Amino acid sequence: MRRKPGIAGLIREKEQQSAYGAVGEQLEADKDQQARQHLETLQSSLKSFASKHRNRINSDPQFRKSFCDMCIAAGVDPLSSSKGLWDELLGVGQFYSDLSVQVLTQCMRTRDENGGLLDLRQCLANVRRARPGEKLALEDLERAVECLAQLGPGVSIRFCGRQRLLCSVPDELSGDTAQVIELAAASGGKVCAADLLRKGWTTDRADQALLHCIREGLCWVDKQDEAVPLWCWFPSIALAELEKPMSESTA
Amino acid sequence: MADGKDFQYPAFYQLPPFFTLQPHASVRAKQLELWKQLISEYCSFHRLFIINLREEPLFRNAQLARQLPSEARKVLAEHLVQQQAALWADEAAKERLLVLWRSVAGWADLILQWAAENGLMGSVETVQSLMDGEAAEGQEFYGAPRELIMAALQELVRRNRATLFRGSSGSEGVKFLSA
Repeated sequence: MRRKPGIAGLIREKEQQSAYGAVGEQLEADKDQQARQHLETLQSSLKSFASKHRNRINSDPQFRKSFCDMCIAAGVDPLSSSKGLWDELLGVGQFYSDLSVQVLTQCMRTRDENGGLLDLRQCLANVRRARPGEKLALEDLERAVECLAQLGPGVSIRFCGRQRLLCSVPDELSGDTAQVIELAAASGGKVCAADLLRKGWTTDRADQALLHCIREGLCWVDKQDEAVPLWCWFPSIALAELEKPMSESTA
Repeated sequence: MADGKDFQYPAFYQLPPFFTLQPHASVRAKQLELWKQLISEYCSFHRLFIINLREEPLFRNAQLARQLPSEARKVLAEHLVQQQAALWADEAAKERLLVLWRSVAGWADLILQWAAENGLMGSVETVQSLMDGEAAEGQEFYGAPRELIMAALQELVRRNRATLFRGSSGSEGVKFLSA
């Protein structure tokens, strides 16, 4: 587009732009229309698939996961709890809403003993106990947490090495605190100053980080090890390790 | 006594920090709560009425090489008494706790029910007979320490369902009253 100098030029430019604008809008509108139609077709296929396989979706975690992946790939949100045909046909939205309430309850119930850090495996074990007979997998919990995220910040999943923790700590965890937790997660749930020194931390930094965890009620202390003056234990991680049966490689 | 099935210790009993008095207020509150529950269930399971703070094996997990230190045991005991989950068996020395895995009111109910079912309303019984008399055999309160029986009977007195007195021979007696 060539720019013409002067006021006339400016007016001309504006007209051109608005002309382009009008065409552009029309193009967008057409695209929109097409996209919407495409989406509706897709949604309706998904809905009929879902309704046909509803029982299997609700009872088989692997199948459920595949179904949700398929929805996401198609740009359709399986967690949407909006009313309408989707929910009625499916109950999947309901399934995850209910589960997310369970997860939140678990976080609140265990807050006093773990300071707001709940190992996802322990959460799963607790929820399984509350809903016997229903097959639940870790992915279901993860989706439930996503459901919760729609309501607002408050519960998130932190990755600590190979472990995953449900974090309902009100404040952001600082880098140092997060590293302490990660270290603990890699060693069955406990960590001491010497562990941090081995990672190159100074004594001060290690002590401060551990003190912070203790002050925030994130960990329990053990002072009876003759070799180690102070152990910080993250009970949820430790308990999840204890509950892990021998035959299971990953929860 | 336990009928073949072993006592199920809670998961926390396998974690070393359970045996260190926690510095953080809410964590400590949770810890004391967990211990209180454990003590109640343990004593109920083993039909233990009195525990000696210094000697009680429950406070030591030999496998973990951990034990609740005496300071922590004192704090725990005070907590139990404050929560009415226990009474001091010896107020002065404060070494022995009468564990109330059933509340005093609950024990009172049991005794009163037994008295009613056995036609003892209006009659006089010795306190001793409640503890080890033939008629009381098989009852939950049979073999309970005197302190517990007395606490339960005093509760019944408060409810106007019993009077306590000392007999001519010096033994304590109770008369159950109809409602």
